Parts: sequence; C-alpha cells; structure tokens
Amino acid sequence: MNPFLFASASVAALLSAGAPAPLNDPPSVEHQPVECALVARPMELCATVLDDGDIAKVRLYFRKPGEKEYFVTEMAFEGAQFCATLPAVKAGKLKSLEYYIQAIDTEYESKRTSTYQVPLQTEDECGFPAVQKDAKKAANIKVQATMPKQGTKLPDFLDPAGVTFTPAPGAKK
Amino acid sequence: MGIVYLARDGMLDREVALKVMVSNIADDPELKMRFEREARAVAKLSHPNVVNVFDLGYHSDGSPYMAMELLRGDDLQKTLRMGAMPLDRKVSIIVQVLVGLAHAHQAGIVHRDIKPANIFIGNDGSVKIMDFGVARLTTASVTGTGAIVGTADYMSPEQVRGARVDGRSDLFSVGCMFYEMLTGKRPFHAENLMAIFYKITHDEPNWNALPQGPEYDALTPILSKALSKSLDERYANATQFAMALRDYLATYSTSSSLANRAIEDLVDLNAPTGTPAPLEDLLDLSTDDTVDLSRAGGPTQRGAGPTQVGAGPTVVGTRGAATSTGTAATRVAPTRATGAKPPAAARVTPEPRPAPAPEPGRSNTAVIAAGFVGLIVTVGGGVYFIASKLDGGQPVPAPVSVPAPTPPVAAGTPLTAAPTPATVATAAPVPKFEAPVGKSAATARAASDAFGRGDYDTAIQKAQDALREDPASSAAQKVLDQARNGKDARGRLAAARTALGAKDFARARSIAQEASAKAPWDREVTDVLNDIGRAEVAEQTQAASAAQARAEQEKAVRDGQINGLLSRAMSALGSDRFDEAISLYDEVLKLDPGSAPAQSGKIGAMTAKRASAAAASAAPAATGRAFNVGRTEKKAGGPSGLGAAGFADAAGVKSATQAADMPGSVSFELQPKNPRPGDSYKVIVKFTNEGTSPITLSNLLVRLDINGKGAGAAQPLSVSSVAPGDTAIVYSAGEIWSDSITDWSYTATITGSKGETYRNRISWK
Repeated sequence: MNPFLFASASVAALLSAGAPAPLNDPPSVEHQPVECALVARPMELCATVLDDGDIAKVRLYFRKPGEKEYFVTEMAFEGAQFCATLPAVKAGKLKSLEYYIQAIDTEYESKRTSTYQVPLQTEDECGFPAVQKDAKKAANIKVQATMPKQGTKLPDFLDPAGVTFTPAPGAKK
Repeated sequence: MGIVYLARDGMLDREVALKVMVSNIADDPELKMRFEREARAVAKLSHPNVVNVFDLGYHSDGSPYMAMELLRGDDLQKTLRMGAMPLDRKVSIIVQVLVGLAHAHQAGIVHRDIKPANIFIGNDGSVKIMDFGVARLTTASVTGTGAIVGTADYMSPEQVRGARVDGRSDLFSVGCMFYEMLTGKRPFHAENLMAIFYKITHDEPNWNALPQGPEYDALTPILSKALSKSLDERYANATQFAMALRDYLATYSTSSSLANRAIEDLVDLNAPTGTPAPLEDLLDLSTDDTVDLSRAGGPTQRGAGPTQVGAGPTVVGTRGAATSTGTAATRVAPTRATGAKPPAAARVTPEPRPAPAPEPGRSNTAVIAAGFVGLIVTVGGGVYFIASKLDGGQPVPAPVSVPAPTPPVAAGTPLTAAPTPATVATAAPVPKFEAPVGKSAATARAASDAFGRGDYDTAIQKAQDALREDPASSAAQKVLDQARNGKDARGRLAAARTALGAKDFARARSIAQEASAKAPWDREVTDVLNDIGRAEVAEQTQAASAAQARAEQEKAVRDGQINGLLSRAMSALGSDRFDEAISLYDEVLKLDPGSAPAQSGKIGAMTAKRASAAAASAAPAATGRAFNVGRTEKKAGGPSGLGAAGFADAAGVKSATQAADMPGSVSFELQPKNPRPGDSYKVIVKFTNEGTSPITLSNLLVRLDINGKGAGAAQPLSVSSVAPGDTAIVYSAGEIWSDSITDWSYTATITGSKGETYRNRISWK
C-alpha cells in the first residue's frame, strides 16, 4: 500500500480511535447505468470506486445478451472515476449489450454491480448516449476473452477498429 | 420507439406511412389496452395541424402498429438544424402547434411529449403534431434503475413530479420548444437527467440568452408565462397562448402574409372554459369507448376477408379517400403474414419499393412517416405490402403475402381461449336390404320395414320368424344382424347420455362413438353425438366467461389496490415523506410494472428527494459546510528526499517549507463552486510558479476521498513546465455530486523535476 495514501486517508482516524481498525471492507462501486449507447460508436462507461485501502483492479465485463461468457476490459482511474472504453457494436448486430463492473482491492475483497443492459440506439433515439469522445481512447481499446472457447478473434458483433484483442489462455486458433 | 416504413396501399394506390412499435409494448396487456383506447380517441381528431391516423393493429409478433398519412418534409428538429429561420416563421409554427393542441385539448387529449422531433414541417409549410396519444408509452418510462428513457428537456414540472397532468403541461413543453427555437438552447438542459429535473422544477430559464431587440423583449413575458412552474400562472389553455402570439404578430410581424396565415389559424378558436382534462377521464367516461370495432373495421380487426369489403365507417376511411370508394375495409392485419406466395391478384407491385433517398441539401426529399403507422394492403383476401425501412430497424422482407383468408377476430375478443367449435355429426345412410324372395318374403319385408323405422326389437323378431320359415333367407339374416347392431347401439347410447348428464364429456363421446361404429345410420346416435358437442361448447363458453369474470374481478381488486397505493404515495409526497412515497410507488410497480403514474411518480419522488437534499445543502456557509483549500505543503527532493510518498515524515514536511527554491503552490477550482446533488462537478488542479525561473513538473498523484474511502493514482499532467509568475491548469477530473456525500476531499501531489513535491487538498465537510 502506498504509505502516503494510507496516511492521508486513515492515520488520523486510527490514532483518534485508539486502536487500529481493520482495512478489509470491500470497495464501494457506484455506477449510474447508462441509458443508451450509439450503434457503431465506442462507448465509455465510468464508475466511482472507493476503498478503505488500495484498489487493485476495476474491470468491466460485457457480453452479447444471452451468451454465457463475458469479455473483459480494464477500467482505469481518471482522477475521480474509473472508466473504460468498449468497442463499437456493429450496426444491425445487437439491440443491447450486457455488462457489469467488478472492483477488487489489495486485500482481495471484491464488489460487483448488478448486470445491466445498455440499449444500442441511433442518435435520434438516444438522449444521453455513453459515447467515448476521446479519439485516443477510442483508438486504444483492449479487450480480453475470459474463456478459451471464446476463440482468438474479436467476436463478430464488435467493430475491430482500435481494438486489441487478447484471447484467454489455452484458446485454440 | 418504432420503425417507420413507407408502405403502398395497393387497393387505393396510395402511399402510407407505417410505423411498427417496439415489441416490448406488446408484452404488456395493460399497455396494449391503453394503446388501443388512446389510438381510438386520437383517430377521432381531424385537424390540419394534427397528423391523421388511419389505422391501428398488431403485428404477428404482437407489436402494435399504426398507419398514418404520409408526409413529405422534415421534423422541426431537423428543420431547425438546417439553418436560420425568420422570427415570424418561428412564431407562426408555434401558433399552428397551439392551434392543433387546442383542438386536441378540447377533445380531452393531452399530448405529453411535445418536442421539435414530434412537430412535422411539410414541404408546403404545413405544421402537424405527430405521435399524439402515444407519448405516454414513450416518455417517463423508468428502467429498473430509475433512469428515464426519452427526452426530458421538454417535460413540465408536474410531469417531473409525477403529478396529474392536463393540457397546460403541453403548453409548458411548447414554451420549452419555443425557447429553444429562439435561443438555440433548451431552457433547462443539463448534463444529466437529475440535473434537468432539478432545473425544470426549480430554475428559471436564462432570459439573457434571448437575442437582443424589442421584438424579442415583447416575447419574453409570453414565454415566461408559458414556462411558469405554477399551473395557475401559466396560460390556462392553448387558445390563450395562441391569442397572445397572435397579438404579438399583429404588432411585430414583418411579413404580413405569415402573420395573416397564423392569425387565420386562430379564427375558429373559441376559448374553452377551464382547463382540458387528461385523456384518462375522457376514455373512462366516454360512451364512444365501447364502439364495436369489429363492425367499424376498427383498429384491432384481424384478417378481415373479402366479405368485409366496403364495410362501413372504417377507421381507414374516416378522413381518407377510402370512405368515398367504399373499399377501405379490404385489409388484413399483418398477423396473417406467413411468407407464402400471394395470389396473382395480390402481386400488384412485386418489388420492394425503397424509401426515397434524401437528396443532399434539400429538405423536401425526405419521406417521413408521420407518427405511427401501419397499414397493410390487401387484395382479394391476400395481403401484400411493401415496406421500406425509413429510420432504423430491420427491413421487412417484401412482398409478404398470405393467400388464405382467416376468420376475422373482432376487437374486444376476450383474452381467454375461444371455445372449440362443435363438430356436427351426420348419420350415415340407412342400409338397404336386398328384396326378399321365397316363402318367407312377406315376413322378411316386415322385418326390413321395422328396421327402417328404427324399431329394432320388431325387426329382430320378424327376421327370426322369417328365418324359421326359410333358414336360407339371406335377406332376413342381414336384417337380423343389423337390427342387433342397432339395438346394441341404442343400449350404449343410454350409457353415453348418463355420462353426458354427469358432464363426463370424454366418456360420453367415447361410448357414443362406439355406438356410432355399430349403427352409423342411426339418427339417435348422431343426435347424442351432437348433444355432446353442444354441451362441450356450452361448458367451454361458460368456463371462458367465468375466467373472464374472474380476471376482471381480480383486475378490479388490483386496480383498487393500485389506486389506494397511488393515493397514499401522493399524500406522502405532499408531506415530503419521499422514502415512503418511493416505497409505495414500488409496491404499485410490483402489482403493475407498466403503471405510468407509478413510474413517473417514483421519478418525481426521487427528484423531490434529491431536490430537498440539495436545498438543505445549498447554503454551505450557514450550515458550516464549505469547500476549504489548504496551504501547499512542500518537500524538498534530492538524494535523501522522500518524494511524493514521503509526507509520512511530518518533520520533513515542516523543514521543507523553508526552502526558498520551492516557489510553487497547488490550488484548486471547483466547477460549479457549490455542486448540488445530481450535478456534474469538475475539480481543476492548478500550479502557480511564484519564483523567477521555470518549474518543470514530472509527476502528478491525485486522490479522491469520499466518506472515509478513497481512490487515487498517478495521472498525466496537462503541462510539463510552468513559467515564472504563471498559474497553469495541470489537471482536471470530474464526476457527479451525490447526496450521500458527507465528507469529501481531493488531494493533489505534484513532483518537480528535482524530486521536490508540492501537495495540497481541497475538502468539504
């Protein structure tokens, strides 16, 4: 754990309490589910993730509704929230995308959100789309498979533009 | 909400707009029923400023569809994007919208979703309101997470609060739309829904955004009245609003033709007394609600075959050419579509007809299906429609046809299964016997005659007599055999009747069929079989009626529960018991997940709760809650320096502040200065160089702490060097301020190229 972070967050509280309190609460994950995303546009999803210690990983799991296996992308701290960019869904392929967010701290305590479905719509239909407006982030999307059976290629419903795909270990070509 | 198709009515040789609704509406019987009732009411509207509805029905997957007049032009949203529009024209458009609304409100219909996208500007300059009566299905629908689907910017305060709405709600929406037309901005727009709701219910529009000039100054009081949050202070009806604009045009219009045209629209307006009632009241009280649509060729009629041609006052023909031609009822709902080849007569237009492609730079080439839609065209009992996708969704393969007509199903048919029609049994011909010959001929004839009368006992006796007289008589033997079969059958029929009396239809039918096998010619056998069939139908009908009655009773009980809960929720909301109100709305949603009052009420309660929390935190100074920025702590670098992480060494921190060669300082700016719950806020980190030489920055570490928990990481710096005397923004980040925040701080630690560190914190308690 970063000693400065420890000090800034908790030292005063520990001293005033007279006894060290265990830092083993799971992270809190607050996420306002997005109303909609745009077809053929990478989407950005963010969550406020906080912990009484240090956060180790925040991950965004997503899949085509009805499928068993999820794909995953890392969410990065961006000053206040953890955010991730999902690849664009090709037009006509899906009506919605299913996702959830999971955070884990350095004490291996974890917390996940419910599973949400984000409808994929046109600009006219979608009032507040979750769109990645940063071209650099849209061009640097990393997606990992979670199971070997997901193969070695990005699934067909996703636009491969700007996406680096990492197959799960053991995936066969 | 739906997919709009260009369709061709082959019988009437005209194009119509066909909008197929999303199928999830079809999953909810309550929504379907409401959809039908509202569509019937809207179909009664006939006004030049309201898009005509031709027909309503359901697709094979249950998706509702509506057929409406096909308009050519663009909606107001797109029209406004195309470029500047004279002020006169803007006012004229609003007047025409108000004239259309006045007509609808007088009919008791509240639109509920007035926005530029629902106003259609025809190539001829006409203005029409679209999607009437459907708005309730599309707006303020809540997702499982409480988020609103749809455009919130034009909602009225009472809509946001989930309160009862009347026509004045539409006037507020018109005011929002008018404001946007004048300023280019929505009056209450914000970055998220909750902030929009807060603005709608609490904030005044920015009147300074209106362009300068006396003509705009004169519009401000009109707009202000339309956008009043208090219903009593708003225009009482659309006519009053339109009259105000008429007076405005009379004074300020620079185009007499436009002004006159707009004023002409008001000629037939008679100011109604009172405010228009919401649609529910009209529907609940109107006797027209019980119109038999099966006779009227109404919205949900399915499969009307050739015998329905020319049937009466159809919805299709209400205002269209169909009435005069009397052929409008030649139509079949798309439920019959199976993909089979159409009959030859139906293949009028064998190729799909694509929607006209918009021509760049011309607004009049877009074909927009105005509002809802859905007409399928049939010829001679087949169905044929062409469908070209106009705004998204999957294209419908064309042609789709069905050759075989099916019996029509009238609107209002109970949802319970229809009884199985009884099969009518008919008797086989009575056996004919060969003419008896020989010495027993007379007796054998007597036996045959008795058999013909169904008197099997006599037939058996006479046949036996004949056989005694002439044992070789084959005719007598045949009569004897069949008479015995007949007698056997009669015996079985007695058992069948007993089973029928006990309503054991299966046993009765089984025994009767055994009897029928023995004596298929016997009329008594067929009579019993038919009696069984009729009794079965009667039983099924009775069961269906009972099920329907039970369903209605359960619905009545449920409606009573829902009304009670809604009433309690409103009462709780009125007393600012927000959590209780939310809980009660949740109970309603458990009983009826599609309940619009509960959905919008829950949003209103959540909004009110947040607004209340925001009001409580709006005066930080008074409550002791404020944002405080500390002093920059500095720590020298060098071989023994601790770097950014070294502040745990408190002594080091103190000693570092003496360093004259560390002239930097960290400061913060918060935007907005006092964020309210639901607001997006941004923390801006600044670095000031108070020295005489540039400071090179190499690293930034930020940390956000909320309520005792936090997160932090190194972040990229916006600048790498700050000149002497300069203040540079080195970083910014933001999120949404939550009403659950009790303790908040943001810490930034900047490391210089020499390893020196500067740290500061902004906190809110």
